[in-house]
Amino acid sequence: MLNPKTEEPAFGTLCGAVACGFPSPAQDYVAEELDLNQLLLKNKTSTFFAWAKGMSMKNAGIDEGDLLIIDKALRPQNNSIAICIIDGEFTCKRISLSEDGRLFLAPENADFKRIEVKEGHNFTVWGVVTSWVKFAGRK
Amino acid sequence: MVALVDCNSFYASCERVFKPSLIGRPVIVLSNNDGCVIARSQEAKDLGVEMGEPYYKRIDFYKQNGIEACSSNYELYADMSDRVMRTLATFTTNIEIYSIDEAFLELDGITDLNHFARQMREVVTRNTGIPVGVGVGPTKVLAKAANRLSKKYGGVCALDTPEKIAETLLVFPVGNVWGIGHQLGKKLNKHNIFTAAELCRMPESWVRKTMSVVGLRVVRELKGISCLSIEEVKLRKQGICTSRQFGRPVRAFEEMREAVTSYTTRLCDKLRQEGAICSKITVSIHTNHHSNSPQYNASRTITLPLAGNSPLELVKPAIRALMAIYKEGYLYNKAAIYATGITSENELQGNLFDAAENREKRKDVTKALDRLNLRHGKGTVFLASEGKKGWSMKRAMLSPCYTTKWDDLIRVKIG
Repeated sequence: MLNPKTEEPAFGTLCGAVACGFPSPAQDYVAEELDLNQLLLKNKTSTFFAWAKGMSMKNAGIDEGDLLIIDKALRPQNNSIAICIIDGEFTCKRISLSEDGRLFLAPENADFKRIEVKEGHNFTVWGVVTSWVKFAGRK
Repeated sequence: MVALVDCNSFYASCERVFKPSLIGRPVIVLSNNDGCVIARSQEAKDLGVEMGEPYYKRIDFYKQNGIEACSSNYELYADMSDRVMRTLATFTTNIEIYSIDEAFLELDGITDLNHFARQMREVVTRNTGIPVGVGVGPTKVLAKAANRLSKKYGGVCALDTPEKIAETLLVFPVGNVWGIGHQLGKKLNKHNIFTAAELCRMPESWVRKTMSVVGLRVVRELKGISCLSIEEVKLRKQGICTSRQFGRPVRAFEEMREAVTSYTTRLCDKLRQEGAICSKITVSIHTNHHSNSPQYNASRTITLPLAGNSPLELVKPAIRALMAIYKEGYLYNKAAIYATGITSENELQGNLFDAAENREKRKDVTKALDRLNLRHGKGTVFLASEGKKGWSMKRAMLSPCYTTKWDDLIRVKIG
């Protein structure tokens, strides 16, 4: 056994007890497993997550408690589902451009009304929803 | 050419990304324990809030003026900083992360620097929501000067011709030059030197005598002669690691904890030797893949609330990581601790002065612990690993960790 007093003070028993093996980087052991990030995150630096709250996007398949995956780097297109900021509040809606060039935030639920974005509104698109995760059996 | 990219009111901007009601409003961010103001949005600066002023002294003033105060959320800032830096890294092969919100980039072979800088600025802001300013110049000191001016020019300023440089230095206050500062600036004023151009006209021998060799380097950089190369200052490794195979297979959590504690302590030694601090640690544990016993490998990364290099700061998160991945019933033969998000110890101090003060205290404690361990042998002092409550900070106005905790994600109203 080693004399603890001659051992490096901060180093614990396990390594001090026996002559150590070679330090080897743990990368060697990382198994190549399927990574959901690979599938769901195109741009890691610009992807953010959020929890969905409310039912106005029900018909699009987004329910309360779903995990929204949002890419800030993407530019919204007509019909994109986007996270928008309207007058300082987050909301998730479908971007909808009418033929006469008007901009609407459209819900996907007959109980809700679409919002027209007009000049007086303080409006920005925060990010585009690229996918969402639903948890089975969770409310 | 060198670009300096600097995030505008970084901490306040991070808060705004996830709390849009703060956009356009004055925001201040407070130091640990909500002590004093360490970051201000432009609106707060305009209202006369000073850097470093104690929060409690003017609470009424903040309220009357609608100033939103946030406790510092380093976990959020570290993640957002990482996103900004990784975005910037796509524009160059050589980037030096100078602080949590600033980076130097080497830009070679780019013809339209102004356009390039604009693009860079746009992409960073679009990716992360963080507004940045870009200054470009032939040297770091000139890039820094350009960055200072960038606000006037829509966030981008490229000093890419001798004419532009000369014109700029003619009116650039000498005290604002990077590396000169307020004190030395005053001293130079006494010698009738008020602008950077006036300083450049002084003979180098005089500069060396008055401002030392460091000052001389600054002056040469002002003249467009690069003295501070990006490599030179970019001394930081990507990561530092401590990993060993155990002398014998280990099964019990207690023993694993001991190993992780001592490895982390060791890792801290390495960090301190390099004058470095880290913002993330990763713990991984492994069974022996040559043996026939059941196999299990796992790792977990934890973002530290505050970058550090003391066992007092790192051991607890490391144990937390271990607890998250440890599974009973396996024979482990190896553990590894990695530190990433490495920056220089010095970089932190400018931003978080009172955090730095705490760090000094921690340094003393760390030394004392080392001595105890030396005198009484291994593991005499067993740090923070008991999971006791410890030294929890007062952060009454802490925003959620929007990007690093599942429970803290933004909740988007749909309806």
